[in-house]
Amino acid sequence: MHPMLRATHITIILALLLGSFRAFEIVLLSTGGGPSDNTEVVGTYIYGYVTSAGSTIGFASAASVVVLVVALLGSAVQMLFTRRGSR
Amino acid sequence: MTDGALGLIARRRRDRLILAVMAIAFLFPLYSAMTEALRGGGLSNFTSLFTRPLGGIAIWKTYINSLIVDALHASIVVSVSTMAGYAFSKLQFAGRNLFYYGSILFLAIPGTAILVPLYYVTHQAHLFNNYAGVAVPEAALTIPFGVLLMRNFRDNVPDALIEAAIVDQADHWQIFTKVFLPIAKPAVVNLTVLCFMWSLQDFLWPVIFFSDPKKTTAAQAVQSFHATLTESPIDAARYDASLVVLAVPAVLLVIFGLRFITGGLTGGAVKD
Repeated sequence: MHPMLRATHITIILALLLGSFRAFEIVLLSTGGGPSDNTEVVGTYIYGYVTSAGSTIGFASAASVVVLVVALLGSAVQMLFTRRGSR
Repeated sequence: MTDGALGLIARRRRDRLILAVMAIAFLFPLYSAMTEALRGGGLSNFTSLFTRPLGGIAIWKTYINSLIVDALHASIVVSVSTMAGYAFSKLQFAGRNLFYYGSILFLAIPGTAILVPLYYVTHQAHLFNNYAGVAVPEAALTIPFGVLLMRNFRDNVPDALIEAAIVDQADHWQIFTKVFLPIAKPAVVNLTVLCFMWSLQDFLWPVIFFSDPKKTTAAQAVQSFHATLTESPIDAARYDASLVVLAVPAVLLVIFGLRFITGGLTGGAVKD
């Protein structure tokens, strides 16, 4: 479908899929992760630990590392699929 | 196909109907924002924003701060992404795909995931309340997208032109500035507009790194306003008015930027 738009489609699909991992502002400002933690995304989760009082910075760092690994793995998998689809 | 059953006029009418429904759906938030902002005081909700600063922040000053961060962010992203895009699409070197996919991997990294180390780095570099302290992390997070965009534009820059320049003994810098950049202009403008828009919307880095009210950016101001206003209906309307005012630059940017993007996309260099 639309072979001339292939490059554009790849750009948009990759950017949106991977970019959704970055959702933060809208969630923080609208629900703040609540009610309880039902709409929590990784962004607001870490932000909560970074800004909360007490010695939670180590926990936030650990969570960051986990998120980094998961995000990198996720984008690697997505990239493999998009590459195969585009050939 | 099914289109054959419909006449040309009927098809056009159908398309227009679909577009109209979508336009109304997309315009509805704008409509509700405006009605909420005008509730109670009417237009005075807007004028009072400029005459009475909220929480010690003059609203025009937040625009200037945003503009400075925007410009820094956009210039870093555009200069790095165009050069990377050129290298990844037109140069042959070992590990090209590895580096390319390596940088694209970072499209998914959320800003909050690098918050803790970045806080430490910013502290060490004394970049708190410094425009660069916000613009540089923003740029680092936007560059993967810029590289993706610029490299996917490569098909629009024909190899024949690059080869012709090489025959004319142009070096890479000349090819980049005199051949690649002029043809890639639509993509560059596109990227610049997106950079401005994302920087304008960015909330996380200003909140973390700008504690000085004088440095407050437009997106950050939304929350500062929220904190200073009370629950009364008139203040709620003023808050909504401030949201509308803060959205104006982004809307203007899209309206005027879009013209450049669509204007340049149809041009090609080599006619086959």
